[in-house]
Amino acid sequence: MILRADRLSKQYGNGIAVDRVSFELREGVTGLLGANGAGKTTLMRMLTGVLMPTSGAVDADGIPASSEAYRALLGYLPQDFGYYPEFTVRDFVMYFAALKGLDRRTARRRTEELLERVGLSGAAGRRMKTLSGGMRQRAGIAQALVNDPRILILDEPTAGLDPGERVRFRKLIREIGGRSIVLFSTHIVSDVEHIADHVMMMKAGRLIWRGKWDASNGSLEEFYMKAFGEDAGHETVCDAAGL
Amino acid sequence: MNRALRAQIRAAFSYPEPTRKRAFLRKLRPPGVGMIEMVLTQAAYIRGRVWVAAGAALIPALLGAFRLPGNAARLMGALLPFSAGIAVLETRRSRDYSMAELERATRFSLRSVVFARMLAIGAVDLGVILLSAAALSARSGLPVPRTTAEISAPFLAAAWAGLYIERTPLGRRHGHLSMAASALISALALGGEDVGLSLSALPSGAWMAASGALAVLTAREVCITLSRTEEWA
Repeated sequence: MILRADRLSKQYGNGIAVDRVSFELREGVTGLLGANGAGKTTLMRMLTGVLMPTSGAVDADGIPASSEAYRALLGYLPQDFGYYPEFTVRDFVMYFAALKGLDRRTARRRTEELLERVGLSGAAGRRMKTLSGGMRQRAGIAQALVNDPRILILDEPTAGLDPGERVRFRKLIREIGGRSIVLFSTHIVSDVEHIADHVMMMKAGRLIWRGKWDASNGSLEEFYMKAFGEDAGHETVCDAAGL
Repeated sequence: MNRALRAQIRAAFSYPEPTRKRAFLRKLRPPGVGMIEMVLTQAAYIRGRVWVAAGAALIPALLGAFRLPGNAARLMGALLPFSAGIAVLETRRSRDYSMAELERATRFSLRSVVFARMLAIGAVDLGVILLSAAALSARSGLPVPRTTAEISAPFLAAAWAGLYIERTPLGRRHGHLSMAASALISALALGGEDVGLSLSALPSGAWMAASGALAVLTAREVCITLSRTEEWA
């Protein structure tokens, strides 16, 4: 499957949040790096079909992002999300399973499986409002995965996770990346180094670099620091990495 | 092929190991989900307190239709607007609890979720209105269409006013405003006669025209609400 973004732009008034971004993603894990305000969240929201682009288009194997067929392929974890106060962790995941069109039996099986995977099976009956931030984030990850998505979009998924949870999450995402397109945003460089096969970097709404990162390119952290330093423009960034 | 032969074949040959079965299954488009199934799913996730509140309005109204002496349409007219108000409040639930972002990215979209919730509560309300209208007609001798119009008009007025208020910026900020409109319509239905509004004296044609117009206005508001649900989220 190919997830394609074609000259994707989003403009708010006179400001451009995302500026003519194009790329193609295949199965594997892609890390989207960028400082706060770089346009990562806006780009991800357009990729999920939640936000309409000002111009440009998104499709997966020709299926447009605005269609039900596209959303059926999708798993999404936004940066911030809420929950209905009466929901238990199990209800929360089951609810999204229902919205994703899973029959009750499959939904129940997938929910139990995923709660086990994210380490929440012991808390399945607990109300969402009683959970810590990290546990809530793990419940969010479980709902994103409940339909076994072919496209998984995660906005700052490791925020709020403790080191143990982060290791478990990395393992899970790497495994899913073997069969799905996974795009996750972060500003934590080590997460990208550990999980991602490919890296994309955004600055001021533009994609300033994308490709496969390997050790021969040097340290991703240093590269990132140069890219997001005050004076680092597109050319400087590519020169710095010898690309 | 008889059963014995089938069993022999099964015993003689083992099944081939599935290859790329999982990849194949993932490529299949998920089966469609009908509107009834969607409504039932959403109904299961409507808060218990919503059903309790709706029941508090609907059960006395229904009992009144069967038990109260004379024309109980006034009582029903006073109770049903609250049930309409509750249905209107459900349209903002995703927004109030910041669930809209997640629900919008699911297969059925936020619009379908809100529509299914309104339909779930609306179907119960409609059932109560029709049942009560039949009971009231049998007791009062008035024609069923007139009784239906008389008890559904306050309900429809509350639904229309509530949805209209919900799409104003002020209404979107303050959820209780639509409920206040329901309370006002309820008070009018109950005490209108006492302040000179002799609604029960209106001819059947006027009642039916009024409830027809309110039904059209409510349907229009439902369409506007659904078309803007994702924009407001």
